[in-house]
Amino acid sequence: MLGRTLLISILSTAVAIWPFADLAYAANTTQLSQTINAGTLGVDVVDGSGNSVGSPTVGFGAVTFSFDQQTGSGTLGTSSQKIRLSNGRQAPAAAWTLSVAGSAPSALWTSGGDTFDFNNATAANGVMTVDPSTGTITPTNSYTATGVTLGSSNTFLQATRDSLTILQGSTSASQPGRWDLAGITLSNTIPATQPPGTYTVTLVLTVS
Amino acid sequence: MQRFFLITIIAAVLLSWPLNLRGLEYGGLGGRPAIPDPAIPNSQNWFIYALAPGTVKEDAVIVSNGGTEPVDAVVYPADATPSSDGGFALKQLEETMIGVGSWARLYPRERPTFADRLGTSILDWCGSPLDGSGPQSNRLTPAQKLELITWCRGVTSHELTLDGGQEISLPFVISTPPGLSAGEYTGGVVIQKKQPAASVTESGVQITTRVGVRIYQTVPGAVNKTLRISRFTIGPAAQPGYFTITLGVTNPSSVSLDHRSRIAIINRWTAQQQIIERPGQVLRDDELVINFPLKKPFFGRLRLQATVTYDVDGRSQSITSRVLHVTSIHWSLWAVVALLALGLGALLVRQRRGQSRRGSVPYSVKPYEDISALADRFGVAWQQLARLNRLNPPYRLTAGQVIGVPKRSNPKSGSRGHKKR
Repeated sequence: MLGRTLLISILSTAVAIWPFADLAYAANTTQLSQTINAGTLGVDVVDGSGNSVGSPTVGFGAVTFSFDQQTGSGTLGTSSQKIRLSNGRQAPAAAWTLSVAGSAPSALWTSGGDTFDFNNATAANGVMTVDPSTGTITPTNSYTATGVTLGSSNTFLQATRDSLTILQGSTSASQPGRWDLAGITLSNTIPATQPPGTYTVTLVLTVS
Repeated sequence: MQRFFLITIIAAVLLSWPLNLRGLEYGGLGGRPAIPDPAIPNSQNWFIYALAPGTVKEDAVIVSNGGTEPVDAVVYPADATPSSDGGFALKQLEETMIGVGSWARLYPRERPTFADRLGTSILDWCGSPLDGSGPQSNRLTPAQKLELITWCRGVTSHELTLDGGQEISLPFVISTPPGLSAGEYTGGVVIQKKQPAASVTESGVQITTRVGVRIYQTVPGAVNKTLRISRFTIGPAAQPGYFTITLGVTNPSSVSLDHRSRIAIINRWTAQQQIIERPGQVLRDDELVINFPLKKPFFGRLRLQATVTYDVDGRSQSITSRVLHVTSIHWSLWAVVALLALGLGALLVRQRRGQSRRGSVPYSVKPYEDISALADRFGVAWQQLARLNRLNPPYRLTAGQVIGVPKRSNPKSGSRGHKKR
């Protein structure tokens, strides 16, 4: 019985490897060649398995209508929506910056016809704070976080601070290297008496 | 039979393992210069030019999709913009470009079929400036010339779909305006992911991603390289228990400068030292403001000084800030000090009272003596006697009661003054 099972297993295994085994039998002197193109810098939002997330979002939860200014907050980078920065460039090492900005300096939180700001000089009109210092950097593969620095807490200010740094890599950072980033705190002041609604705004993550 | 299936499955998984490794390769949109110059360091990562004013340069960017799924993207040149903490960023697609981003034009469309008769490059076909007046353009018919002029304008952005693993070369031409002063001008070619809008169920932020390939265009000529510290302050942070140190660095020179900021902090009460360091880049004519969080010490007087180091033609230059001092004492320590002060105060009061009593001698009140008579007798004010002995109105004394009378008082035989009843 055992011999029969073993035989069937071997046959099944042979069938399983058949599609991939043909190259090995092509010729005794086959020279395999593989071109690996130079890598690039890249940023993506990936799920727990490393697959790109189609439409990443950061939920800000719900707040109740208020006659006073209040604050909504969310977390950029979670276990199911990690920010993955990949630097596949070749030596010599070059510095890079991962930054976040509104889709335009004039962008607004919008819900139908109602809006409020994310980069106003007056907090009462809406301003967003990005605090990367609450984030965690997780190097993938066998890379390290040496030379990779989280940005400091800052607020958007139209025409003055349109872009905020989340992460910076110096020339001492691993190259190639890949890092996952999570736990960055976003908060936005909500003007007093802001009409109820489901408000959204688009932020752009840029690595350059 | 179960064993058979188990062995088969394990074998199949083991054999297919190397195939799964393909999924671990880098995925996502990326870009890099298509024609790097080995003689120029970093030209494989960035576009680095040294073009004179009024000249043009033809180049191309490789746009790649390292993932396995098709990706929609938009490619566009953009001006550089400073990012906080000394970062480099690029303007958004919706913004108006006025610098490097406005000097570059993309040429994604197939060239006119007749263009090959004119040469092999965009500059052959279009001339310089890019108005369709290439050297051979007189060989074209008016209709062809019109078509060529339209094509030669190029585009400021281009949308495309890249299959998984696909990469394409996208030509562009950068034209430096006449009259540019010597110095560096920065921008980049941006590859931005186009993604469907998320279904909105709660308020929040929609995220999109993009990659920029930097452009450094330096107009040759004399350039000065200098940095200045424009501000150096310390104040309370929004986060409890932290200070925010703000360091501003201005770059009045004509090139962007990489630098390293270093803040030395010494607690003069505990002799503890701390160094905060951060690399950064300041674009030309720009001020970089960096906020450093600093955890407040339990107690101490901090001395802070910033040093900014940068390189000028191979020589290291350093500038230092003014010295800041700040005292920090944790509230719990204040509470302890306040309690100690209270305790000490109580002790002092008690001690003074004790001293007051020690400066008196006991006296046994005789029958019919009242406080006025005793005050008169001992030559002190009756109020002093009352205070010394904590007597309350109506200040009655009884015969045999022992009270304290001042040591130095001299008893008299008679009595004067008004009598307290």
